Amino acid sequence: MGADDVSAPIAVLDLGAAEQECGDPALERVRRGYAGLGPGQVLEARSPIAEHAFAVRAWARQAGAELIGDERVGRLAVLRVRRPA
Amino acid sequence: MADYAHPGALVTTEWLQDHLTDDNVRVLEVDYDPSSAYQLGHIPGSVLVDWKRDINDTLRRDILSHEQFEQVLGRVGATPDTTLVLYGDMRNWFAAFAFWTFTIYGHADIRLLNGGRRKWFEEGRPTTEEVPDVAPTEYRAPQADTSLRAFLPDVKKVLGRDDFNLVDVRSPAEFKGEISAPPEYANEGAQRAGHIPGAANIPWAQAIKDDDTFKSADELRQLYAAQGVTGDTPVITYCRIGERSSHTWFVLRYLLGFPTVSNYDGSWSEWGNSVGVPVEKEVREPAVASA
Repeated sequence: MGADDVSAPIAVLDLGAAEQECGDPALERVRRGYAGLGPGQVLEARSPIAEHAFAVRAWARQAGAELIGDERVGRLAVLRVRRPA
Repeated sequence: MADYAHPGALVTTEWLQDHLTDDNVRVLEVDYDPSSAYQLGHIPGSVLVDWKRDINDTLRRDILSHEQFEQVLGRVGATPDTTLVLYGDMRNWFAAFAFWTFTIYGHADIRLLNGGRRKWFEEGRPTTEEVPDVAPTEYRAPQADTSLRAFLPDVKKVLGRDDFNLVDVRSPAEFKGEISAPPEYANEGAQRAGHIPGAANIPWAQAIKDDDTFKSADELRQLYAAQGVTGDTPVITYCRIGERSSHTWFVLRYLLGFPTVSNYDGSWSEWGNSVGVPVEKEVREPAVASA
């Protein structure tokens, strides 16, 4: 992946971590990260939890974010969302 | 189900899928954040119960009133004979909180979906974005059973007594006073961090397996007994706002059958902000009865 790869994420979120302390829902972290993206920028979310992947896909569809990557890497679902240019 | 004291309080994902269209079954998704859960997709036919709006008094800090409970159960189309199956976001915490409040207000047949929303999605079971059209009912509830709820004075009364168990179900970092609430939950913070003196720290998640279903009765008995919590004395559970502790309240009362378990929903966000109540940070060795 080259430095000028436009699909390279500017942030990677691990949605599977830190659930025991009753923090934000996983998707809220994606929403916050997405809100900080500029046009064309990409955010990557990773989680071993199917519910998280489902939420990211459904939210992207409803929010008009572009889901440009959705693959399985070992136990992890790896999803990339891009803010439209 | 795994030798639980009250196995009828749980349903499996398989059972629920087979009973989704039963006339007498009403499935409720109880969410802390519906925009991150129900509104994206839910179990077909399930009705949303919004924890903040429906289970709480939105003005003063309290659970919903008797009248509000009747309104909520009427809105979801339930009668006193309806089998309510609860599940929800955030690992079923808020579904367990609803279970606790609905039990206080005397609904007879309430069941928790074992593994919750997470397991349903993990198994690839059907979901929908369609909101069901529910015919409302006139629901009448019996008198509330307030013995299931502990208030701050109740907790103060049992401080230092060995004929009560206090169970703090928060994370070890919260128990030790390293944090009082995550930064994104500013309104759940406290002036002081730590725990109620004498409490045993048994984090809620120790009661479940990797797939979010509950551990076996034997495993649960051992887990709590190792911290001196055997059911021989009354138990009060608490966390930060009373939702994780509802999960443990459910475990102790329905899976282990402890006779007297109450939930202190004021929890750390009340205790840690109160003037003059004692706070402890040290972690003591559990008081375990000898065999």
